[in-house]
Amino acid sequence: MANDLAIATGSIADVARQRGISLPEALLDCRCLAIIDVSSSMSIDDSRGNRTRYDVAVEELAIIQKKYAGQVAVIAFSDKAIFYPGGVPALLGGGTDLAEALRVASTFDHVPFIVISDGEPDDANAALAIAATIKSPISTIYVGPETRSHGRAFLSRLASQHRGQAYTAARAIALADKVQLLLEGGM
Amino acid sequence: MSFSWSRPISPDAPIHKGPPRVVARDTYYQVYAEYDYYRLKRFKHEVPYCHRRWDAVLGCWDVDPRSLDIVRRIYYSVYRRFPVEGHAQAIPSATDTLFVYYLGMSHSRDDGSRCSLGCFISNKNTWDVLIPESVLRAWFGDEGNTTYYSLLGVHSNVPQEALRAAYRRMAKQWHPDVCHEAGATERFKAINAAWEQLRDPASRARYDAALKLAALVPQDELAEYQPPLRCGLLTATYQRGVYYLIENISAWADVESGDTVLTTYYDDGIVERWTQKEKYG
Repeated sequence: MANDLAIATGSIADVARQRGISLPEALLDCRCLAIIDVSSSMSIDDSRGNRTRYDVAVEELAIIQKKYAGQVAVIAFSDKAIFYPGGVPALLGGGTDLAEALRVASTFDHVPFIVISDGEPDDANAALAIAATIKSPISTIYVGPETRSHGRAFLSRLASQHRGQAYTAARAIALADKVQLLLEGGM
Repeated sequence: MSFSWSRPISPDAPIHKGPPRVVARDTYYQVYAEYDYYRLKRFKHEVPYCHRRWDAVLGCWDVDPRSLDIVRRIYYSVYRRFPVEGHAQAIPSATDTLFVYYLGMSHSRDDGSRCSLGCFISNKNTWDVLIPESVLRAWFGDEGNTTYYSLLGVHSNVPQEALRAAYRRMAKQWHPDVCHEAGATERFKAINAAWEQLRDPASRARYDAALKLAALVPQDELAEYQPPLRCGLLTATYQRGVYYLIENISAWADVESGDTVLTTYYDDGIVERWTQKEKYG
């Protein structure tokens, strides 16, 4: 079970611990912010092996943090947004307040953002308004079912308005591949 | 067999027997009492750390007048008497410039407070100065964890042009040629790393962003705190009882003589060094 104390290999906290440096120092090498949705819908168990989208997303995030050690910082959001230096976000449940997540992330507005979500935010206009204040590119990865178009359409719009790419990793399967594409494609 | 309330460290110190004896000094009381484990424990629990100090030479506790009633309660129940010779008066807040010769690390005390003890140039053998860690952190811009700014002893909003002066000041204090305290070399390297990151406004902005993001994570219990400066002329507001208890610092100037500046450190005793102002940093 993921929690506040879990530390994924290659996460910001892991790198800080290994190098004996502080979190701010470890964050200096960060190349992107992964802003991941951990609302109630992420607990639907329609992902690979009948596991939840959340479980698979955490697994995929672990893969990408291990490959790009110290380069991916993770912020999770539902009704609130939390920075997880250990790279293992908890399943918070509740709503999808992307606006709050972007507001929190805006303190780190010098690296590209990757928004990972399976649906529309609670307030799309508020999210777009906050996004408009962000200078960094915002890319998106849709992790809901391929048959639902609303959430995917919103994320595509968000990415296109902010010089980002929009991908789909249905039900969080192959999320790591899409993040890798963004990291290596220069976002 | 009876013991002094706390055993004196000095072999020449007298061992007190019988009911407590309390003698007023200018700003505190000397309390002589028999050693008793439970009463001593209660004393340490109830009298704030900043209101008591063990005098190893005389074998007594110096107690701030504001805590004398607590001591009276502890002892009156046992001896039914608590004679006090004279009248001491703690001095309420005053502001002055104090020459602090050496200031140690901040530690957790047995009443839960955290503070540094220091001494004056005029009395290098007595820990007369007590500065709560919160006062030091507020002055040096340290909000909890060590940051590049706290290594340079400045707040994170300090103007860019003031950073170089802060770096030079800290480099002089912690250069391994000057300071032979344990950990000084590592501290000096950290000060250099801080300066390398902060000297350029763009890389400083990246560090500031990292600080803001990291601030969202709840902090662990604070580690021991080493003030970045250990001596100086402090303009401070203080209360004078057992200690000069510093409440607020409004200026911290270097002690200079000609073209040299004073640094002090602890190495089995306080060591004094005068360093060329232009050297290091």
